[in-house]
Amino acid sequence: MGRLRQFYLTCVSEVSWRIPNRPAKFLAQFSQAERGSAYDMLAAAELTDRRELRRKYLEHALDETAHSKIFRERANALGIGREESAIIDIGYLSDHGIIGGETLFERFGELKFLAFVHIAEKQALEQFMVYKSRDLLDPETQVRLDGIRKDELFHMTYSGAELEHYRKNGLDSEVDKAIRQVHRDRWKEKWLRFSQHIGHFVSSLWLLLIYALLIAPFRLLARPEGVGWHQSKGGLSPDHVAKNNKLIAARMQS
Amino acid sequence: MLVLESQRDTLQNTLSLVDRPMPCWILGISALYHDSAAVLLKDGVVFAAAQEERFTRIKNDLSMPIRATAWLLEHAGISPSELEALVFYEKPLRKFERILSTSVAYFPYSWRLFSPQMRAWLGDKLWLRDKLISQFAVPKDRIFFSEHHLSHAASAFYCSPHQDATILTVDGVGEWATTALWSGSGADITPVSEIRYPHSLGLFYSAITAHLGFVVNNGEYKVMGMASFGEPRFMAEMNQLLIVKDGRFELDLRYFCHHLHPRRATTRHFETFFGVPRHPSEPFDLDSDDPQIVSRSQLFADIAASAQLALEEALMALVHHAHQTCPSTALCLAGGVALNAVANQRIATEGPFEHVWVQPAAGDAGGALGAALWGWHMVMGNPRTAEPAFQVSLGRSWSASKVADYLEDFRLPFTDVTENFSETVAADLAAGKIIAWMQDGFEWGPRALGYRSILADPRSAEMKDRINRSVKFREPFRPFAPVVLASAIDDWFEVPPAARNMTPYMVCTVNVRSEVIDKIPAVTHIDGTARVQSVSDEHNPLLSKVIEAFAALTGVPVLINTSFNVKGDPIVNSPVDAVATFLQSEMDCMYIGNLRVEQPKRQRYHSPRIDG
Repeated sequence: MGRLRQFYLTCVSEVSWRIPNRPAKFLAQFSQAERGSAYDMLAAAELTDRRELRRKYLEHALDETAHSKIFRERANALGIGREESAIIDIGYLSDHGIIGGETLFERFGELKFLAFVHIAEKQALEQFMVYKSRDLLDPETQVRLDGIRKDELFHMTYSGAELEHYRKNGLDSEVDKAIRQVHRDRWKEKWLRFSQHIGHFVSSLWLLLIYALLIAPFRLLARPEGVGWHQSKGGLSPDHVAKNNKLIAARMQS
Repeated sequence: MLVLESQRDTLQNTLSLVDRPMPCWILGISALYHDSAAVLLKDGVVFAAAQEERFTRIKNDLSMPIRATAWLLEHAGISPSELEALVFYEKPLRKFERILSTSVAYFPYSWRLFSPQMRAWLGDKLWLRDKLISQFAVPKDRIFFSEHHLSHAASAFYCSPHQDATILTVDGVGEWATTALWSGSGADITPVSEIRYPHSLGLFYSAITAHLGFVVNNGEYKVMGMASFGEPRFMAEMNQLLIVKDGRFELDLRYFCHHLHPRRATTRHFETFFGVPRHPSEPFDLDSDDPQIVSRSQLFADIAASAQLALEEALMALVHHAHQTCPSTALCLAGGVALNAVANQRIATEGPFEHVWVQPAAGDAGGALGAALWGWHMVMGNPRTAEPAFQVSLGRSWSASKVADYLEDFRLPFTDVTENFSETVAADLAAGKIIAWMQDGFEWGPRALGYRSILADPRSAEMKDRINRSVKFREPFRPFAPVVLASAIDDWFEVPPAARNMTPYMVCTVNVRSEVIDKIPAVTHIDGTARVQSVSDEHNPLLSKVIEAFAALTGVPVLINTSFNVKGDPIVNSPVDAVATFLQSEMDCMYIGNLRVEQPKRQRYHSPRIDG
């Protein structure tokens, strides 16, 4: 690990992991991230043309599933809030683009996928080392993390060995290119996520302003819907069809 | 000579292809709320159907069903340009109108909801037609929009065996309606009346689900299971929250805030009735040594029992109103609330209808089916024809050679048991083995109906605990459903006459006969009921034969049938999903097609480490 990265990880971890209740939240997020990773590994096991890699991908997926459970147990043990837990469980994977749409394997192809796995596992290991060296975790979580680190080491090693295999087959420049691309993508992803947070914040302010200034006057005219049975509106009801041609009515979004 | 004959056959096939008009393909889509799905109709008949969650592996996935659709088109061998119509299951602008109107009507209390809702709509959902065009490559004039509850109604009515029926749809919310009444006749569905947001039975039950620590839109059936352990001692409180009178219901909005808050469904007043909500990890154990855990667990069970009873009372009122307003012998139910199997039993037993029908994917996924069928019948004007019973194996299947390739690559030893297949499976089951079962295409709807199932012997009560603890990793109170031979169902279960058409789909509980209740404890819930599924040669010949063989060995034509997944995951789709699920649980063996796989003996599949 480079000095700059170590400095960055130490600073960020020292600040964020010391905030009360944050460790539980982070562990719940780790749990979801591992879950997403398991799905990606399963997709790789299904889609790869290199049949000799299938079993490794499957084993990797099983490890990630086990890690996900461990992280979730520790998050619960550290008392993650009820609402926070629900938000992370429901939205984390899709909000972080970890899952949904194309899988990583489909997006990257075999070589870049392996480069991604190698780099992600290496960076996770570095992160875990910082937690240990700075004594940021409770003893029980640290014990469980030590077990996980062994698996991560295996994941980093086998993906690294596969990259070497490509190099030995004369694909040196392709491997280097894939590694560069993955590093670049990871930074880009971080930047996009940061921008998303900013955009989210700014749009919330604007919408709140619109709510206060534009919605308020209409409140005088509006009434909540009454209770009980109402006559159905819309659809292809006779009224609706009478007003519009049947096909046009069916094409309408309102 | 043979060559000539073969050439003649080819020529005839070619000519008939030329003569035959092109088939009419319709794609139905439901998405962007929960349980997104895609359904493909060929000349008005369901060709294939799948929920997106089976492909993306996110339970209740709400994203646009791109992967499901890609598989449907590939399976049919067509391109998007060959689709006659793409029908989305609701009218997005009318839904937007409801959201905006609600924000205005409840100003200033709706401020928390306004911002996230507008961001979601302005950024994405409002431009749905463009999104459909770009993602599915279908021309603009072939895109149609049904209506949320109309799609539900169509999914129930057109798939039912009834030509005339009263249709009642009940769910969280669609555009405006949360409950709607329809009259179905032939190919026509006529709207009658509706109850509108924010008064919603679905959202009432979801609020209770969230209070009891379960995930909304996913954990409702856990509340249903938990209810049997409690007494409805909170009915006075429930009657204040949910007011039922004159064949309708309303919510007292002092206790609910689903129309004001993006994440909360209930107010602090609600907590004065029912106390602090349950944390998802809080134990539910009525046999615990810790009296505090027992006391809290009993409280939760009593809340669940009261909510279940309140829901049933409201549904019964609606059903009686429906019968008075649109008299008919048959009732078709749809919407997420129609998946409440306990309520369905009561409707079938005590309700005024001679027949009750619920389509297996009654929730939002079923909207895709209804939208497509609505397009075929009501937009294109095609009549209904007498169709065979609704089949559920509509999802992706895998060839035997592909499965064998995967198993070889995973270095999992397997044996081909084509000969004596049923007898081999039955012997495993009778020996107390828990079996992973993957056959043909996966099922349509949230229930495992014998294509992606975990099967086991129901004769021992311990089996239920073993599967909950070591296979599914889920709450110990959760019951398991039985699958029974259709020919033997009346010997084992008391099926109300009105529920008879529903038994193939596991959408209705029934009482287990008192004289056999001790013989199948693993599938008998604490209240003496079971969410039964019947199978016959017509519905699932393979499973039917296995149960026959099991009955020959044990005298019991019943098996445990639970979904092939672990807690939190969707039901498996591919052989890879199946293997991963099998290996991370303690099932004993797995049958994929005719191949039998034993659970590896090593403690962990990947220990010791494989070669590097």
